[in-house]
Amino acid sequence: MIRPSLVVIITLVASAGQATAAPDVADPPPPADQGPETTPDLTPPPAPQPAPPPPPAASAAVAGTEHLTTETYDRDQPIDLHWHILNVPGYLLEIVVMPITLAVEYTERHYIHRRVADLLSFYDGKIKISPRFKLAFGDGLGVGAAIKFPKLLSRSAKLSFGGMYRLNRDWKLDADYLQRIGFIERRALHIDGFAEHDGNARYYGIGGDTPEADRRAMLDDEQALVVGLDVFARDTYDWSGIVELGVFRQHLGPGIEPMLKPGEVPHEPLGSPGDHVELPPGFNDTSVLGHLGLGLRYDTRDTKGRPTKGSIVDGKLKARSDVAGALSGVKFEFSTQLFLSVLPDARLFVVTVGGSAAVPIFTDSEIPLNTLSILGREHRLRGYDRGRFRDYYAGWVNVEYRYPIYEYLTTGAGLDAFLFTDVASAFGEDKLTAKRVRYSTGVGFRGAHETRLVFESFVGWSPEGFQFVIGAEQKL
Amino acid sequence: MKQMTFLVMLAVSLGIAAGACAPGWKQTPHDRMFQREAVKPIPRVPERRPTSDWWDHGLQLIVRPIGRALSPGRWISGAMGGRAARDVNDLGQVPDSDWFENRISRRTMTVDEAFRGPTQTTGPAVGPLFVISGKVDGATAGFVVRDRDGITWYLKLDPPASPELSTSAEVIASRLLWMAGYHVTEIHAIDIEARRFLLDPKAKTKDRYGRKIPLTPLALDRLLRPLNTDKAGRIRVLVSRQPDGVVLGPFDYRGLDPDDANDKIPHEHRRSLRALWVFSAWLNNTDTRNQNSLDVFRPVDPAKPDGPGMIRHYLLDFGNSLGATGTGEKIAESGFEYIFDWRVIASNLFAVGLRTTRYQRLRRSPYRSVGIFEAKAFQPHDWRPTFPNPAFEECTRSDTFWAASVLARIQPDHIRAAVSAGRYHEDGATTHVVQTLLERRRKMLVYGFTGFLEIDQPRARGHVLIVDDLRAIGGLPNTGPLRYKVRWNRTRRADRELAHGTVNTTTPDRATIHDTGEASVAHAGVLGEVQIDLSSTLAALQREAGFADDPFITVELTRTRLSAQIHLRVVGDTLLPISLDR
Repeated sequence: MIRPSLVVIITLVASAGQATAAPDVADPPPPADQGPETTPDLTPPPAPQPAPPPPPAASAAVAGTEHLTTETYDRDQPIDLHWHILNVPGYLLEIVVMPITLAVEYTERHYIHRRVADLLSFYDGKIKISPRFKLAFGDGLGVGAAIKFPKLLSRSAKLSFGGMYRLNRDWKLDADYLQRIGFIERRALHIDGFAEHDGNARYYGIGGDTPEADRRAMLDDEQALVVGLDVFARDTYDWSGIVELGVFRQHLGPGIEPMLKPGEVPHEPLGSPGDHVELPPGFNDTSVLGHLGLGLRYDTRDTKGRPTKGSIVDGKLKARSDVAGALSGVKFEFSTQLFLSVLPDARLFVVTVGGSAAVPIFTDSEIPLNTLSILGREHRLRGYDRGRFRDYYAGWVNVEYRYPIYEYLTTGAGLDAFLFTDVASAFGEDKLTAKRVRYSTGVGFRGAHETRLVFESFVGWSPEGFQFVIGAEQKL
Repeated sequence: MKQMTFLVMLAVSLGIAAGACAPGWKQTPHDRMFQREAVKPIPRVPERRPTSDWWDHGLQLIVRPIGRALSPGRWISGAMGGRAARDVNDLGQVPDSDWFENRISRRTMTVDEAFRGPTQTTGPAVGPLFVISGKVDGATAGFVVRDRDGITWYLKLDPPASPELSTSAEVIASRLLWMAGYHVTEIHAIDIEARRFLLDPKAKTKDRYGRKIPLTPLALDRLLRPLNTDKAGRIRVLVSRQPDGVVLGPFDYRGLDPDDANDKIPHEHRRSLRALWVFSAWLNNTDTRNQNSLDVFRPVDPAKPDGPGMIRHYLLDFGNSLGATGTGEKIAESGFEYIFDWRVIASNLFAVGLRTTRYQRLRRSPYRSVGIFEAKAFQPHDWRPTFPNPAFEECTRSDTFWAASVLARIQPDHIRAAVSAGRYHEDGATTHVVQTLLERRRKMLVYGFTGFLEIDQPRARGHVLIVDDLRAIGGLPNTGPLRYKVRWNRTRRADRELAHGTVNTTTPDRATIHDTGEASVAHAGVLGEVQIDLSSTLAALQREAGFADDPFITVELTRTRLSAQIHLRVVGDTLLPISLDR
């Protein structure tokens, strides 16, 4: 505790013994006092002080000792070679990134970022080109672009064309058209089409207990044209939905083995003589299927990208059948996702419970592969390979603890980490037993803004090993 | 003959070795307390290329932290307590230079000086202000004007929703940093009628791609219209005068300037730059990037602007001080973590969301013109600027102590005067800022003095040794009497104790000396100034054989297990402090 008397005296010392009148710390007079043509109000506080006394002896050489002292500070500076050697790793890193320096400096100085952004947006934003990138283990690097017309027909329609090509020769083309229709309460009509070639889709056979060694590569060529209509008016809060009608074409065949794990030998091509893996329905054939879909969602999340509370209830129905009825199936899927805040500042549990069931529409018909229930990697079982389990029925419970590890100022953008455990099982072909209940656990990161998910990455572990995913499917 | 040569060589070697045993501080010329760095004029104006602010962000936030983590030098240096600063003399002071000038350390300053700071004028001349260029985009607008006297002024505005927030903070910080000794430009926070702004026909602005284009009346109108005016139609602006000389661009807080022959000390090893963190933390000036600095070439002969001259290094842009940023109020994290802080991210990751921080409980002040500026949660040791600063990272405890010794000399009245210059109009804002600064100063002094005996600036009057007790000057509670021992510091022989005693510095108005026999009693002048009269001790000592050839004494001061040694040379009837070891 500073004694009052002490404070007073310290102040006296500061002015070398001069009586120092403290300036008035009350707020300055209102600006109205300053007159119309105001020059800076530099009126000092009341009672400005006289010039201080001469500095104490410390600031000058003691009389008679000038010849022993110097006023000039001029010392040889050491080279510090040992310190430079000890800092070589840091220096090397800076040298390595030096080309980036040049690029960044050039971009900043010449506004390259704006020029590129403007180049990608023609005609006052009525045409936009968006680059696309994808990096996935097994599928390799993909690059592409989309050209968008976001303001067609008096801003009531949007059209976009896009494509992507991957280093493993997989490719995808897509086109989307959206038309808002005023007379049905601005519900939108969606027309979406795509064509995709995947030469190494994963396939393990059908059933909830297929062994890991049954992994095969499969060719999967798909084309689709779907017309959809919003179920709810555009301004409906919480509820959304779409009803779809379309045609879907699929060709399945033997694929090219993707990247192998260390020590793994290439498998026999799917469908080769002697291969015991059960072939998917419609294998080595081209199927044309009619498509009917209905999706409904009740969504009470506070934000889409980084929710902290609320829930999503999803219900989906997907029915597909060929003309002859040899391939037909309908899949019902239901899931509930709860966002449960446990601590302030967006620390929450995300609990998802769901199930799906696929049944044939016609007796004696087979359910198309893409209508079966599926588990693996981004499909609710993150420690297993993509498409690891396909069967008639599936159920899953995911528990995820999500917490922020970085916030970019107050922009709403940041990085969240999450710890997860998935428990799921696919069954139907095989009976549901405790042995067939699969689990995985892991850790991941989500880079997101409140309005959208930018990327998601995770490492999942299961008894079959690790799955490492960067930029997983951007599902909201 | 060979034997003789060997003996001579041996004798010479021993002589050299023995001479080498004498401590460096005994060698002449001795450092004076306040010195000036030796500089020579640079023949011509150096060329500077603009630096990349973006790259500086990436370098400081990502590349350098990784590089430092990988470098053994960082860890070894850390384990050793850091590398010593190089612009420090034997008495622990930083010499005056184009980087730093001892002001409050050298002499007492009046409150009037604290109020005016570096200002030489009263701001732009009365009359029209011709807008010669303007920045019409970005978070906050700003422009350049020329007044009737032809002086160029840079104008900055407050964030529209936070009147006086940024302009006041900038003025206050500039005044206090100037007192501490840094070179800052002349700035004023003033109210100007919008009608005083006239567009110069040659006024320029920049387009979307940075190309210079004419600044049109429409663009100027768009710039001025959204500004908040008072009832008299005036707007609050910060005017900053361009320093005399040729503006070269920002300096780097690391390395040397290849164009400046006088730049011999790597910037991160300058104590003045390292210890800037102390003042930045005190003022909560979180934006200490390279971009907020300025090198100006100052010709020796002002009539020959292209002639020889020196580069002066200024600190700029304190709009991120106190509770302000250039775009609005500070967010709670400001001052607690970097904008991208690996340490915090790792802590958050491994703490699985259970980590709590002091700033989570922060509440903004009740003053809109102040924002979040408080002292309760402030802890000097973990204050962080927005971007890592290479000089701050090299700061040692000795550097921090030095800065605290400067800060202690900035008295409450100085702070009040500097805050008054900020011209807050909101009731209570001035008081809040003053009280917060005082409390943050107290915390900073406690931190800065930890581990050191808080004495400074040894000097002498005749045979009376005088030191400053920084605890008293800084207003910190006394921790006990100061003990001293006087020794004859003999070269190549053991020291001989001459006297010892106690200085009771708890007496509020005087520091008295309890004489123990050999050192005579003397009254100290006033509190904060401790005097030890060594007349009788030295009178006896000067009669000793060999003292004339080895006239050095050491005064060891101790308080609560902390000690410091002052080495002095006895020159006739005067004492010459020549070194201070803490």
